[in-house]
Amino acid sequence: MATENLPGPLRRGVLEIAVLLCVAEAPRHGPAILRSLDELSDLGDGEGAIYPLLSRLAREGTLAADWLGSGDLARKYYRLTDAGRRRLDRMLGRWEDVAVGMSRLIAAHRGNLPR
Amino acid sequence: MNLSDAAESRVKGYLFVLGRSLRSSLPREIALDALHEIESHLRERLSGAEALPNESAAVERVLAELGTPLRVAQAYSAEHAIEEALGTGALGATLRAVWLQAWTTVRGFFVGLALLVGYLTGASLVAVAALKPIFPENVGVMLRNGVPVAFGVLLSRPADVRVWGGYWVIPAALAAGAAVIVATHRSARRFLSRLRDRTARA
Repeated sequence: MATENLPGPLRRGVLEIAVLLCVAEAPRHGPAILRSLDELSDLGDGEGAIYPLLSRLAREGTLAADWLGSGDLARKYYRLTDAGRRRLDRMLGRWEDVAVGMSRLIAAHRGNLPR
Repeated sequence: MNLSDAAESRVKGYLFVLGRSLRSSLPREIALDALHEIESHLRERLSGAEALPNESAAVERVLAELGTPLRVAQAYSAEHAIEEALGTGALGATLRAVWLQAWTTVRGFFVGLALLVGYLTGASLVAVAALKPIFPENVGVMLRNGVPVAFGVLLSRPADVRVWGGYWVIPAALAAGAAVIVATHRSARRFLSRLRDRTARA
């Protein structure tokens, strides 16, 4: 599911959940998050948008960021904070509610949609 | 791949432009950290890229996947200044975000100009209300030969101009000024919100 055709606010929300999920298990740096988005979800469009998003999430306290390594090998790793984990849980709960509702709605109307 | 001098120069040029763009719209500390992270990203991507058959094409592909320096800087600006403006709703943060856009895009410049006119018009109307009690004979609707020609303050009034309007000018100007400021502020927030959505994918 590529996000490029989604309306702006929806795209932002989807990308935010996807990024938080990518760092939920273990700390990851930007290129690893992008690879994960590419491999698992096809959400990795727009590399330049991921870093500002990560920066904001770190500023908000949803993610914690640490530079590891030095010189050309220095990488900024992101991990979920406790507050970020709670936020992700809330977002996933809402997402699942919406997804279930939408699936029912689509199933109910699929046969009646104009072609 | 190990970069040739030409490729290294291209990457450094990209980072130089990005650094300047970031510093123009973000606090210095955040801009430096962002630049460092983008450089780290580029180094990692380039180290894994195939230099053959054409190193230059490989470098351009990696840079293109990231986006132009201006687009990347705009995405940072959108996440930082615009989020602050939309999150707090504060006038100062909103004006700062609009100001940054006015300096970085043509559309931002014209929208910023229109919003500036709106805010100044609202502030002028409030100033008219504040000056009415001080200069009651010089504030109100200016009439020349009985025809309204202006509304506001005229301290050195020509002989053929008469001021019409009592103290009702105060609530009227206050209400109009507040309405114009609120409408302008809402427009500014709508503009920033759309901009944020558009730059979500740089």
